[in-house]
Amino acid sequence: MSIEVLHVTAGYTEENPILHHVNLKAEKGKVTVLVGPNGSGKSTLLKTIFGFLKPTKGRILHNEQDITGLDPAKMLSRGITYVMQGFNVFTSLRVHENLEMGGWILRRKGKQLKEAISTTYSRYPLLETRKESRAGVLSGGQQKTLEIGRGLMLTPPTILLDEPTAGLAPIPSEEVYNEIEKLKAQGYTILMVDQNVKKAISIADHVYVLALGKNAHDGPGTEYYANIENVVREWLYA
Amino acid sequence: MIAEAIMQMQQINVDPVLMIQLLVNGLLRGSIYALMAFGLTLTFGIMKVINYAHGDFFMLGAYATYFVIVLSKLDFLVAVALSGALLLIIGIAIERFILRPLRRVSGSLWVTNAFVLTLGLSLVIENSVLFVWKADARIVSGVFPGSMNIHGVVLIFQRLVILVATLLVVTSFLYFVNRTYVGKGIRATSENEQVAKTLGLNIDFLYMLSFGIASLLAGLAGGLLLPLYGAFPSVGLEPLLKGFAVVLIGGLASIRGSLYGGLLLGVFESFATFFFSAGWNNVLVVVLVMIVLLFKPEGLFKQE
Repeated sequence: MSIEVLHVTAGYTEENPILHHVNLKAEKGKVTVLVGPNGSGKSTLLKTIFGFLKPTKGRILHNEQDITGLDPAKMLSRGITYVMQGFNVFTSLRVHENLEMGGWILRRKGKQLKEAISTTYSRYPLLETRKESRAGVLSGGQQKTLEIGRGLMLTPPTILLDEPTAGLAPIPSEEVYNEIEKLKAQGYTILMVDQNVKKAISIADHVYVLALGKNAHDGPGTEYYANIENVVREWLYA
Repeated sequence: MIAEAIMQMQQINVDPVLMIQLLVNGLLRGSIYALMAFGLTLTFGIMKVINYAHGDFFMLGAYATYFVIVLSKLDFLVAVALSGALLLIIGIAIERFILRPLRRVSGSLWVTNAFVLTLGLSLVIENSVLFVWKADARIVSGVFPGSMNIHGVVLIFQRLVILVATLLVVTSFLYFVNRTYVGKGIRATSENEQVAKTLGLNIDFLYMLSFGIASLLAGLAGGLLLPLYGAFPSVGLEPLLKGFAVVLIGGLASIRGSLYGGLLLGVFESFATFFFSAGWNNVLVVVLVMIVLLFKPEGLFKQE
């Protein structure tokens, strides 16, 4: 399932758009990374794709179907999940209950929900060992694992990741990147925003650079990785 | 006043029966306060609405119970349950047709707008009731008459039934929010609405249900206390203020805080009324709230 953003203009108010005619394509089964300076509109783009913001111009396609402006609650049933920036587990709920929330759409289908939770535990055995713990007591890396596991409960083919390693120490960050590569190997389409430019580009199939809400540059990940110092100098601190 | 309090303390030191009596009375009051606070916690926690009309739902519950008993001669507890159901429907309707349209257009002014709206709603409800049924208190008598004496502790059946019924409602509510899928969804949305949306939770439905349940709880509290307070247009004011006090003591948007805060306040009031007389009751409650806020401004329990 691919995502295409076609000439999208969007922002938090109509009078002051953050994004200006942005184009992007996240190919099916690939990792597409979106980088750029602070305030360039990266997270805004993910929010717009997921329906939190409605574009004033342009269209967004998912697997060639128009999802422009669809309500976020409908995105999951369309096969798109969004793991937001920061730590977003429900801290007062237990690990098990967080996963139940990830399977909300299955709440009347007890057997399917149980299977989904069981699959998530198979993928992330750590979560099963901590299933009765309140999510708030987990470490940062464990919380991010829980968030990703919760987002994958319905096995949506497309994942939007907003700075998945923000606030994490190097070792848990590395584990998150390893997990992203595993998901790619399993055929998931991943569109990721990241501030850890070097690491993100190292796992990217394609890179888009956003600056001041506009497309600045894009190309294969290998090309960017070979030239990473110039990329940072030219496009991120321009 | 102080000398009187000391005499009372000396009396209480040699009379454990009295202490038990005060404790039981305190638990009754406290469980009602907890019911009121649960509703306020629900609406604030999930919807960020400070619901000034909450006391009026208590009042409507009292009136509904009264009329069901008088007109249909149904059993008291059945009448309370029916009144609760009515308030559930009223609460759902208010959220759906009044609060939700306001929420859609309020943006960042939602909290202020919602408070002003509920203030207006309270005035409308109270004055409508005053117009239709006047200010006379409606009383029911003969509800679970009699009492029993256990080793000197006098247990009035009416109060005992109310206490047991209230604790049943409290337990049911706690079961709902902690053990049911929808209850957990309400807690999750209360914690992080945006993330809840990304997981497909139906926020409109959860808002509607939360407001309905809050109204139900207030209505049940009003109905259960009918034999003790009666039904009159301003009967909900004091429970509302006590509910707010419990929320401040227990912690904003903390269900656990509402429970323990309610019981604490109820027991505190019961003993305070005995030592210092009923006239000082509300003053001492305010002092308790101030002491808690001075040392723990976030309340005794964290938000859940």
